[in-house]
This record gives sequence, structure tokens and C-alpha cells, in this order.
Amino acid sequence: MRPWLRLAILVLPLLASAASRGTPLDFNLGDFDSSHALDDATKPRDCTVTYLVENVVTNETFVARMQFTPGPHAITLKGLLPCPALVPPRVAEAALAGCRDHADKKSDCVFADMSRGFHDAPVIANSSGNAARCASDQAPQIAIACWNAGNFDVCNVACGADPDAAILAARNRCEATHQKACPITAALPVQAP
Amino acid sequence: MQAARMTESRIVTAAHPGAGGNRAGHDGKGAHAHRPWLGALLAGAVSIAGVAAAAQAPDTTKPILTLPPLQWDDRGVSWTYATQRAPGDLARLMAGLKFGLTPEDVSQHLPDPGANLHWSDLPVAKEFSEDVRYVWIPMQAAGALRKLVTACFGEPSHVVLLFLNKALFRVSWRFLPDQNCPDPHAAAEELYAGFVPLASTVAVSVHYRVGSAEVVDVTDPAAGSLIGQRWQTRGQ
Repeated sequence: MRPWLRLAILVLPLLASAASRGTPLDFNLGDFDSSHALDDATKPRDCTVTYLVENVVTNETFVARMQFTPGPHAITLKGLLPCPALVPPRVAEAALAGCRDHADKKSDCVFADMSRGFHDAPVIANSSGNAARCASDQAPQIAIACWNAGNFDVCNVACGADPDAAILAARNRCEATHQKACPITAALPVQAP
Repeated sequence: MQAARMTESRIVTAAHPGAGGNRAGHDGKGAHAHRPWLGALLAGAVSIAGVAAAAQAPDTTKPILTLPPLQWDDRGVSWTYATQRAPGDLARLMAGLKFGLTPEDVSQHLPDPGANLHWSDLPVAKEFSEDVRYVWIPMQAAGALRKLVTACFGEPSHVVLLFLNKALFRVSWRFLPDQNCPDPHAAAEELYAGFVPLASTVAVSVHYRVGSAEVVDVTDPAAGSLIGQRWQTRGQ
């Protein structure tokens, strides 16, 4: 066989392969390109501000998620809709009201981030609504860490990028605030699952 | 993960003022400058103490109850429930029972096919000032009314159905202990967790203790002043 023919036989499959790779694919997907399910999946979810509230009499913790309808000019950042820069006090009140719906007395419910004197005076004034919440545009996880003061838990709240980070932050906050080991913990998503 | 948390606990505990670390540092301030080995020894002792403290307080997971999410407008002025829970959701949790059913209607949903309830036959619930009537079912025989419960409960546990004006307005689960189940708290928590996500416009659920009993009451929101009345008022 002549050398040029031998070379042509060797090179031809390579050329054919390259040509097929260079050929534009047919992207006509018919109706498949208008999947509503895909649209819904990629749509950014509403900002959610999540509170943890506590019934100190029953020692029960509630998660209260507050979703905000985006304003007409809301712009997503990294796929997240922005949360209000200032959360109105009535939103925190609504979180407390969620707990109070299940309580004997209104005074049974407090925010789950508690100050150092809370175990002596377990009242709403010794808890903080601002510290008991996380916003979905800041962190995806909210966590609680507590120590047990007898009949009820004394807790603090923190936000984090994942459950472990959020629990660690809550735990550090609890242990620094109360000078106690805080082994009772939980973490959950800021946005509703 | 458990080990990692305990490690973090040890580190933070050791750093606490007044938890041993500061005292050691304070007492050893002069000594540490002159005797480095003493400082190292004290630090080691504090570390061991921290580990012991962490070991005494094992990690536990705190149960969290989920309230129904609220949907606010963009200014945070007004809200509605984000997920509209219908009375059908309640019926699914209560074995087909709905508030407002007559005793005869309720008979159709009870697990005992022989039950044939009539208002005039029902005993009066004396803890109420109104003419409230009731029927009770042993928890063991409650069938789908306790389908959310997997944890243990004592044999005396029971479910009470309460009627006002011939209409069902409350279902009350009363979990009691016995020798085989000395603490029925987990059973009550399981049940209660199923009802908390319902909007208070659909059902009002409360969990409380009466002596050794763990009680979960689910009440019609239209029941007015009866909503706040608990089992502990019985006989008073």
C-alpha cells in the first residue's frame, strides 16, 4: 500500500470524529423547552425571616417562618430575594402570637434567645426578638443551643451556612452568655422545606 | 459529630471566666512566669475538667414544633397563612372526625362498630358550666385517632370526645403512665406535633400536664370561651 494511502486511512476516522463533534446539534426540543416545573424550580423563593420562640411553662420550642412577598422592584442576589432591611416589630409579635395560640397564658411565651438573667426571671423582657431570628438572604440555617434550668431550657439562637455551623454558633453564644455548657441543640432550615 | 461538638464544648468551657480556667490563670499569674511547667500542668488539669464537664452533659436534640408559615406583604404590614390548611387536613389527623358532627355522625367514625352515640345518653362533663357531654375511648382502641403515635403510653390512657349543643367541639387525648410506660411524654409530643402546623382558624391545639397525665386538646376555634378551659378544672 502506498504511504499516502496508509496515512489517509489512519487520519480519516479522526477527521470524521472531529467533524461530528463540530456539527451543531439539533436543539429543537419541541415542547420540552417550556417546562413549567423547571420554571418553578428555578424561581427564587420568597425571603423568609424565621424566629424561634419558646413556651417556658411547657418547655416547648416553636419555629415561626415569616415569608415576604417580593416588592415590585426586588432584585435577586445570588439567587436569593432580599429580606426587609428593617423587620417591623409586628412580625416578631406575630411569631410570639403563634406560640401564644398554644399557651395557657400570653406570658408563657418568650423569644428563644435569652439573656443571662433569664433563669432567674423567665420573662419576655429577658429575651430578644432580634437575636432569635435568621433571614434567608443571610443564612440558610437557624439553630438553638440550650442548658436546662430545671423546669425549662435557657437558650440562645444563631444562624449559619449549614446545620453544624449554626449549632456551633448558637452553642458558643449560649455558653458565652450563660457560662454553662449548652448541650441541648437543634438546627433547621430558615426557609420552609 | 458528637465528638466534634464535645470538643467545641470543652474548648469554650475551658475559656469561661470563673469556670476554672480564669482562676487557674489568676492564681498562677506569678507562678506561671517563674515556673512554666506549673502553667502547663494547670492548663492540662483545666482541659481534663472541661472534658469531664462535657461528658456529664451529653448532647441531646431539642424537638422543634412547626407553626404554620405566614405570608406577609412586601412592607411587613399584613399577613395571611402561607399554606391554606383546610378542615380536611384536620379530618385526616382525626380519623375523619370534624368539628360540628353530631354524636350520631361521630358513631360512624369510631373504631368500635357497635358504638351508637346519642346526645341524651352521653354523660355530662361537669368541669364545664355549659351543658357539655362526652364519650371516652381507651387509647388502645382508638385506632386511627392515634395514628400519629408510635411512642409508648400507659394502659389507662384514653381519648375523650366532647360535645356542646349536640356538636363535637373538642377531642382530648390523655396519655397516662403505667409500669410498662412510666413516661408517656413522647407519645403526647408526637401527637401534638401533628396539630401545631394547622392554622388557629382550623383548630386550636394545646399540650399540658395534669398530674402524671400528658394532655393534648384539639378544639374548634368557634368554641369561644370553652377553648381556654382545661381538663384540670374537672370537679372544681
